[in-house]
Amino acid sequence: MMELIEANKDMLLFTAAAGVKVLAFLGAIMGFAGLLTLAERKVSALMQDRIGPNRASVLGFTLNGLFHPLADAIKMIFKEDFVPARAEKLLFTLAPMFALVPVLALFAVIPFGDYVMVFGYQLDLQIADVPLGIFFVLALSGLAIYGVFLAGWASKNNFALLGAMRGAAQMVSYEVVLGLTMVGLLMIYGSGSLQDMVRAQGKLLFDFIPAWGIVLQPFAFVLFLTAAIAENKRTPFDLVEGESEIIGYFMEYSSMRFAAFMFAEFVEIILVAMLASTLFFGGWQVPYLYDTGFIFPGGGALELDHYLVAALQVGSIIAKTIFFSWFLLVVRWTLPRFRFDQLMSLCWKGLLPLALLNILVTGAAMLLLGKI
Amino acid sequence: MISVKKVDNRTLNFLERIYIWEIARGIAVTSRHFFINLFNPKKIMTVQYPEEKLALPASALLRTRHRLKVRADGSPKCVACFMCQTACPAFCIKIESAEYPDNSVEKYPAVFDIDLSRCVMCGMCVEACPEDAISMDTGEIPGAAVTRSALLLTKEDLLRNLPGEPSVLGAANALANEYLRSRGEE
Amino acid sequence: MIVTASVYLFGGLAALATLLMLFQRNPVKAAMLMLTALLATAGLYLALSAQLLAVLQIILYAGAIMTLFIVALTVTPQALHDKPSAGHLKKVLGLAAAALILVELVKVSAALRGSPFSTAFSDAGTLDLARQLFGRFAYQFELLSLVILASIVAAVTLAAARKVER
Repeated sequence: MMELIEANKDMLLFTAAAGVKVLAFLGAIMGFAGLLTLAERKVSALMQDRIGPNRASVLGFTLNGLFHPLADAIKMIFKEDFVPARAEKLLFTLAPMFALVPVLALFAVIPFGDYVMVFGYQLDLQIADVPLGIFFVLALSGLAIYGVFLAGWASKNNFALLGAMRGAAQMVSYEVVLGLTMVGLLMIYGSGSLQDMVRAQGKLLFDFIPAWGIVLQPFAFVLFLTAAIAENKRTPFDLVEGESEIIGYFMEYSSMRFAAFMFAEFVEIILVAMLASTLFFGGWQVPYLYDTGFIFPGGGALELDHYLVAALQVGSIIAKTIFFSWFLLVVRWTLPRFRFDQLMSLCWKGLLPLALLNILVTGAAMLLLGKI
Repeated sequence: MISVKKVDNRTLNFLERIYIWEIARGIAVTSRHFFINLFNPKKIMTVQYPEEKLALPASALLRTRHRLKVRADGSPKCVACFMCQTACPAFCIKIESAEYPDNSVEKYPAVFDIDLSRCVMCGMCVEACPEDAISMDTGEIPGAAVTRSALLLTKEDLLRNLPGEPSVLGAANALANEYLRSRGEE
Repeated sequence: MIVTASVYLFGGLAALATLLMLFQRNPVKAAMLMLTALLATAGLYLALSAQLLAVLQIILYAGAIMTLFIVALTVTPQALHDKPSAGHLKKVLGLAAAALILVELVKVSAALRGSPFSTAFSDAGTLDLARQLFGRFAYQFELLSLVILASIVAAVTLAAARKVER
């Protein structure tokens, strides 16, 4: 038995490390998504000169509303789990999973740090360093459409079906733009792995500007953020839900099934925030921070402990994620909803040609600068 | 003279048509509010209702929780004529009439229930009352309750005079006044 | 061993889903079974360590083409109703066509049996792929874009014709 363990030591260690990483990372994501449900209401309240939810109390402590996600969860669990009589039972049950699983799986390829040395072993702070990570992102975000469509179709409700059709048309359109904006990044970094992309963003331009994606591809960032919000189905692109006209694809859902759709939306916010910071804002990179510590362009240097560097890097991506999550919430509570024809013409007549132009300009610039 | 507001329907210029600059301006406005309220919550105008209450405007038109007026001898001014129950659009008033043993002129309500969970605070009952017996001037706003029965107002809940209100003697009905006078109570 | 097992698993799943799809009368459920078959095929590619092919299979077939199918299904109301059973002649013709395709597929796969393949983990770089696509296969690639151009022209013509009618 001991020999067997000894022989497969690397494999076992790898599996254990991966398991720990999956549990820790997903646990953090879930917790953050739960807090985002509160943050959405609090941010919107503060923007509109209100206080927001502050009543849920445990033993008389309200902590300014911090217990509301907990109260929501308990309420959702104890709601009646309703299935319409004419609904397709199997697909109706599968749809929330189709909505949630691809989004959660996407976090596997996003790096949340460089590496840490644990007992002499190098532990990569990423669940899976897939060489074609960026394609993996596109593939799984494409599959998220089926959650929306199946929910709308299996409910056998016309409003839900309308929402599902809008969702399918909208997501497949913006998926194209999302893919094309990533082509520019793929060209400049020459690798599909998100970890490689983040490492490439640690370099300096002209010896003092961090070579973040936003510096090299500012145009692609705007296109990416627009397409990503549209993929996320949030205002100003929330025609899929459209609370004031059709309730949307999850109209017939209640209880935890409905909670799964809501939760998927909030997890998607974190995903968009993490992708935006990974692709365009250096991921876990802190400007001028290297393996050994800070090395400033002026010549100054500051030696730092390995664990401190790793903590700074993880803190960096957490801070960026929180900022972009906040930004997405602010966008959602600032802009009014598009009309559906405006949505489609924005995608096919506006963003798509611009994304193609971006690829052309990136290619021409790389050719002129002799980077190929 | 009708005032006419001229709307400037000019076509959007290029900067406005590409959205981004205008979106950035909008986000600047909303995030300014966010940060001001985050660090200095004094400007938030929320009233924490059950604990904090704004003073109600002193208007005669104000409609708040109902009450039944009381005569000096403690009997209700109401004569159980069912006018308010008939006028009520929400069917929230329930009256059962009874007769005084010594008074053949008027009746009195043995039961007078107002179900606040159905009441729409329209004030029709006040308008309909020929005796000016019901009014909506208590200044209390019916709030939420944990049970439905807590929202059911019975005669005992309703019968009250406002402090400082001159005791209301007599009724609008001439016959009733004559009767009261004969008892030497006016 | 794991590789062989997963190849058989995904292959079997793809075949099963395709068979079920053929006997499914509800168009949306048939589309879902086809999606399962496509995803199983992607898994098959992944088991044979063709990463890029697997990912492209999901992006293009499962993500884009199946979605377009579904949008087309939902905007054609008659697609949501059951159709009457086809006549005998059509059934015979359909079976004959299916048999023909099956024979051809078996022939082609028999030729592939002898060809060598590596189960090593391939790290297909984007640059290599681009060199192949725009170098060796440039002619075929450009020919394909001509097909797409033709279909775009056809779509525009169809859309424009409807506008004139109004």
